[in-house]
Amino acid sequence: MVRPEGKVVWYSGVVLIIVVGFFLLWGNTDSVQSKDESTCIACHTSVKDLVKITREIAAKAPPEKSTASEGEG
Amino acid sequence: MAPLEPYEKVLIDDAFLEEDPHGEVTCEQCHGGNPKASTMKAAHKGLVPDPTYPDPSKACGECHEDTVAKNKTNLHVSLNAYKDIIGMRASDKKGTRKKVFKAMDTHCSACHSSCGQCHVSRPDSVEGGFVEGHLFQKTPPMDTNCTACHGSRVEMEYLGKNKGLPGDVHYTKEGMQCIACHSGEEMHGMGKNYTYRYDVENAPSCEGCHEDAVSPTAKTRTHQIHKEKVSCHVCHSVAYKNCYSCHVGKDKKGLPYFKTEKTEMAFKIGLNPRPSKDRPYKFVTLRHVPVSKETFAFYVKDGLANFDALPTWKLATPHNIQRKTPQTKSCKSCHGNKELFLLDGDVKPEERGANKGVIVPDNAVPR
Repeated sequence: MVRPEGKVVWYSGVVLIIVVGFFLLWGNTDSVQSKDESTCIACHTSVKDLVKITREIAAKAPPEKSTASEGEG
Repeated sequence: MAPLEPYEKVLIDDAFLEEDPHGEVTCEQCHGGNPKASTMKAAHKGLVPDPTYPDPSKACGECHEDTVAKNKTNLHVSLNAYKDIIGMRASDKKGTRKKVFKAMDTHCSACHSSCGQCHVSRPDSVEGGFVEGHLFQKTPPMDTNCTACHGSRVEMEYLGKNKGLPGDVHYTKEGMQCIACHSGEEMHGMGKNYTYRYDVENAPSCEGCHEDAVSPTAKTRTHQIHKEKVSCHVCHSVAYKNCYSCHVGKDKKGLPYFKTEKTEMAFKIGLNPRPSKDRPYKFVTLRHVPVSKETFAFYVKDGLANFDALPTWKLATPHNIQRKTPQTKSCKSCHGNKELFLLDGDVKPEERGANKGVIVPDNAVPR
């Protein structure tokens, strides 16, 4: 038979484990956005990838701006 | 300003994800697209590059409700003043008027800003690109954002880039950035529509800081004599840029272009076109704006049939303030010095009708 004081200690221990576990898990949680989960982040944080891709895009479709403009805008 | 390298424009700094609260929101929540896709084309399907224009309520409204509520009347976004002013000069004929506004949309409306083009990226007008790896800037940097659009006139004057002319004392002595005078509240507007930018009620004024200069007990005698007769700029600014004859059209490839005549550095004092409670002065500095009767001639004949409705020499607040200027040397620097005043002969004959309210009659030049 467990005495009332023992029950309190047991329940307190369980609550403590849950609370500590929650904080540990929370602290180790990765950012909402990670490179593994989002191709946006993976690509847009890689200089190497972006240089390659933007060069390919520029070669296919160079940005067009009229050369007829003269004077200060 | 030199544009960024293409890759720099879209490179996200790791600090954005780690430090910026906006980095806690997933990319697709603001920009759409598909973060699970394995090809660029699929990932970019449905992408919204600037989710803050024209309507920022979804991207910004949840947290910045008050600012977003003013977006529709924010002059940086709406360009209402441009539309109203062109509208006043435009023909009354419905078809002609429609063509003018269409041309204006093609050429002038591209210069709007948005939340993103001030706080995340450089403006589109200078080819965009993140200011700092997508980190949000509470105060847009002067050199990459404010002067990106306000470059030809304000930047050149304020930083002293006009040959032979000094920079503004607020910058050269104190290093003040745009935000020192032009607050965020002013930039976002007050939720009201304005036709004239000088009507914006929370715009800065010289007296806001230099209260003593124009108080009844002002120590400087010239301030006592001239206050409410001349604007501060009449005495404390130097020559500034004037632009002429902007024409717009499309080239053989169908790409829009503009052509302006050579700009001119000049200093002209004229009659105040719109005296108000805040600007009751008789004399103010005037700057020539680039509009001409033929600005939209490529698209429509007589598009600006009401050209004379407004002056082409407009109220100006040059950003090159000095304590001492050629005007402050002596009374005779201005009194009787017709060179400084906008006289009939200074105005092109075809623009005299438009400027009749600001041209100083010979007998009105202070003696």
